[in-house]
Amino acid sequence: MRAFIIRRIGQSVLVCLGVAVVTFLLLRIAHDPVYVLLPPESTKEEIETLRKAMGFDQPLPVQFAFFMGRLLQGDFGDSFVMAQPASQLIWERMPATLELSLAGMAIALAVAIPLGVFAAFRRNTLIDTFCTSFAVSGQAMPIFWFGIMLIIIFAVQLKVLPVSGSGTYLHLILPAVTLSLNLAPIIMRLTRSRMLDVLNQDYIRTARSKGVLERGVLFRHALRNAAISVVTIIGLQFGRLMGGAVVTETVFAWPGVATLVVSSIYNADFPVVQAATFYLAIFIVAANTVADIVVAWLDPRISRR
Amino acid sequence: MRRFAAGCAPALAALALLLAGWPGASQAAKSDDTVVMALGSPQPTMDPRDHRARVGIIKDWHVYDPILRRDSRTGKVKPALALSVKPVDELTWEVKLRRGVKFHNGESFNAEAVKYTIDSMKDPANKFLNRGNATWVSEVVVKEPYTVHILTKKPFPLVEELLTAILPVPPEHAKKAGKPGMAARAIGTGPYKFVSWKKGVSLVLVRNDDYWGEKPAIKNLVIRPIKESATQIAELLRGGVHVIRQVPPDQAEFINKSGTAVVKSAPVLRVVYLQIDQAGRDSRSHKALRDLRVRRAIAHAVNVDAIIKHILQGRAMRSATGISPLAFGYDDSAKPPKHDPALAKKLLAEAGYPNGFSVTLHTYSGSVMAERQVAEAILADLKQVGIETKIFHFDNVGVYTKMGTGGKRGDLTLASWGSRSIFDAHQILLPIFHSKDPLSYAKVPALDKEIDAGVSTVDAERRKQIYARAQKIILDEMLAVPMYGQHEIVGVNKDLEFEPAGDEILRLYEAKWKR
Repeated sequence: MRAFIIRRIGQSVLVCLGVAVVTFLLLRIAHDPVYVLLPPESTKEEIETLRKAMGFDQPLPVQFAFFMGRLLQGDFGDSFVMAQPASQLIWERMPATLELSLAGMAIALAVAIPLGVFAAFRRNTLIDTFCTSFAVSGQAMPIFWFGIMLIIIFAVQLKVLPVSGSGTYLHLILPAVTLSLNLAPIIMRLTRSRMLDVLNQDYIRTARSKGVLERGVLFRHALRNAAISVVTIIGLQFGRLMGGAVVTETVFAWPGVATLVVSSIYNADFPVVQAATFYLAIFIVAANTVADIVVAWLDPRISRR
Repeated sequence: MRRFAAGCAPALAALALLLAGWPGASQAAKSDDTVVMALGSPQPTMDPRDHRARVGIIKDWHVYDPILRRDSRTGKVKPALALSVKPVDELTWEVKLRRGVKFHNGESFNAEAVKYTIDSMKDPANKFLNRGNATWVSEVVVKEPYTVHILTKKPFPLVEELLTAILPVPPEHAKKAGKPGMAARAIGTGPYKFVSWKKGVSLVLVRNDDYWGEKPAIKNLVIRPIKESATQIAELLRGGVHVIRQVPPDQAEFINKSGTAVVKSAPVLRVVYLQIDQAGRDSRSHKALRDLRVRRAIAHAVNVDAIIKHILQGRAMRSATGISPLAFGYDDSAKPPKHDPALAKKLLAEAGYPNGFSVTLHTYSGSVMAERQVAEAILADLKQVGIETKIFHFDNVGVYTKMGTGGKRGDLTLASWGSRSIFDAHQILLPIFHSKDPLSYAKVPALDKEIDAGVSTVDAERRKQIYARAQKIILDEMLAVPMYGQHEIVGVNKDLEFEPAGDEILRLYEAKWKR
C-alpha cells in the first residue's frame, strides 16, 4: 500500500510539472505577450519598458528557467490590475471556493447516493423512474440557468434567501445547491447502475440466504463494492466541479477564485490567470490522487497490481 | 455571462407574473440610511494613482476629490480642490487651491499635497498604472502654501480636463504607508470616508461629516462587485442593491415594470463607429475598400437610426462624424450620411462591384452595448446592397492579442471609444484616425496635420475650426461610418433620487432618499 501511495504521488508531481509548462506557454501563445498585457492606449515607451521588465527580450529557454525559478517560490508576479502579488490574491480567495465546492460536493453526495441506491433497489418502479428522470433533467439543465431560477424563486419572489454575496450560511445554500447540480446526476446514475451490477452477484445472494438484513445487504455488502467506481468518478469530476464553480460564483457574486479568474480574464490580468490555472490544476491533481488512494483502500487488490 | 440576461428576460417576466403578489416588503435600506451599489468587477486598489479601472474611478470620486470636478448636470469642469486654474504663459498654469481642507487622517491639504501626488504619479520608478494621466506635466512648482504652478512640456490644451483625473493623496501618510498601505486603505479629502474593505465582497464607506463641500444626504455607502448582470437585476428587484449600472437596454422595460426600481439613462462620452480599412493597412483587407465610392456605399447602406431605435430602444445619441457630440470640438453642423440603399447600390456598381463582394467584420464584448445584435443588423443592411459579411466576435482580451499579432483586424471593425473620460475631440482623433497610431486604419496626411495642430494649439476657437476641418476629412474620405454615442443605463431603487452623469462616474454623494 505504501509503495502504491508513493508511486501515485510521484505521478502527480510529474503532472504538476506538465501543468507548469502549459501555464508558461499560456502567455506565449500570442506572438508578443506585451500586447496582451497592455491596453491599446499604451505608448511605445510603456511597451518597451514592460518587455524588458518581464524579461520577454530573452530567449525562450532562459525565460522558462526564470519562470520555473519564480514558480517554485510561488511567485507569479504582481497582478496588473490589483497592485498585489497574484499568488496572494489566489490564496485570499481559495477558502471561499473550497467552502463552496465542498458544500456542493456534500449536497450532491447526500442526494445522489441514497437516490441511486434506492432506484437500484426498487428497479423499474415509479420510484426508479422518478429518480432517473430527476438525474436526466438535472444533467440537461445549464447550471447558470438553474442558479438564476433559484435566485428568482427563493430570493426575489419568496424572499427567504439572499440573492447573492457571502457571509452567512444562508448565503451558502443557493450557490451550493446550484453547484451540486453539476455532480449529483452523474453520481446518482453511476451509483444506480453499479448497484444493479453488484446486486446480481453471487455473494449478495449468499448474504441474503444467510439471513443478513436487507439494509445490511444494501449498505454493507453492495454499496461498499459499488462505491469503488463512484469514488473514482468523484475524483475525476473534481475538475468539473471547479468549472461549475466559475459559473456558480459568477452568478452568485461569491468571492472565490473563480470570480477573480473571470474578471482577470476580462482585464487581461495574466499573472492572476496563470497563478489560478496552476493552483487549481494542483487541487484537481491532488483530489484525484486522494480518490485513487481511497479506492485502493476500498479495494486492496488495486494497490497490489 | 452578461449576455445571458437578455435570454432570461422572458423567463424572468413569466416567473414574476406567476409569483406576483407574494407578501414581503422590499429590503429598502432607507431605515438605516444605507445605499448599496453593485459594480461589474471588484475594486482593484484603494490608491487612485495605481489603476485605470472604471469601478475604481467611481470609488475614488467618493473618497478622494479631483483637483477640478465635472458638473454632473452641465458636463462643465468646475472648481473642486482647486478654486481656479489659469494660464500664466503658454507652458505655465497657475492653480489656486482651496484652504482649510483636511484629509480624513487630519493631514492638511495644500500645495505640497498636489505636488507630491503629481510627482509620485509620473515617476516611472513607482510604476503607477495611472501614470498616463500625469505625464503631460513637466514640473510642479509650489509658489505659496495654496498656489502651485503646473508646467507643461509643450503648449497643451487639455490641462483643465486632465486635472479632473488627478486626485490628491495625503503625502505624509502615503510616504509612511508605501504602495501596499495605500492600496489597502483609502484616505482622501472626499465626501465619504473609508470604513472597511473586504476584497471581492464589499467596500464600506461612511459620510464625511467634516466635508468642505455639500455633504452627502446618504450616510452609509456600500460598494459590492457583482459580475453577472442577471444577478445585479435580481438584487435590484429584491432591494438588496439600490444602484446598478450597464443595464442591458432590453431589460429596461422589465425593471421599470417591477415596481421596485426604475431605469435612468444619460448620454455618455463613449461613441460607437464602424472603422473601414481605407488604406489597406491589413494586407488581408478587401481592395474594394480603398475605393471611396465603396466606403460611401457602406455608409449609405447601414441604417444607424434603426439600430438606435430597435436595438438600443432609443438610448443613444446620433453622431454625424464619429466623434461624441459631448466632446469639445464636435462639429454640430455636420450631417451624417443618409440611409439610402439605392444610392449605395449605385455607388457599388460605379466602383465595379454591381454584385457586391465579401468582407469581415470584427467586434468585441466589454464596451460596445449589445454588440452582437448591432453587428448582425449591420450584416443585414450590407446584405441588402449585395455585400456579404462574416462576423468575428472577441472578448476584450482577444482584441489586444489580435492587435499584437497582426496589428489590424481586417475589413470592418465595430468598435467603441471612451476617450478616458476626457471631453475633447483630440482624445479620439489621435488614437482612431491618426495614421501613426496602432489602432488607426486611416492614412490621410492632411488629417494627421490637423490632429497635430489641434493638440498644440491652446486657443479654443482656433481648435474648434481645426477639429471641424478634421471631421470634414473623416466624412469626405469616409474613414469610418459614424454611428452614435452610447447611454449610461442605470437601475435605481424607487426610494432613491439619483441621476447618472455623462462621464460614466456615478456620484452617489448627490443621491437622496425620496420623501
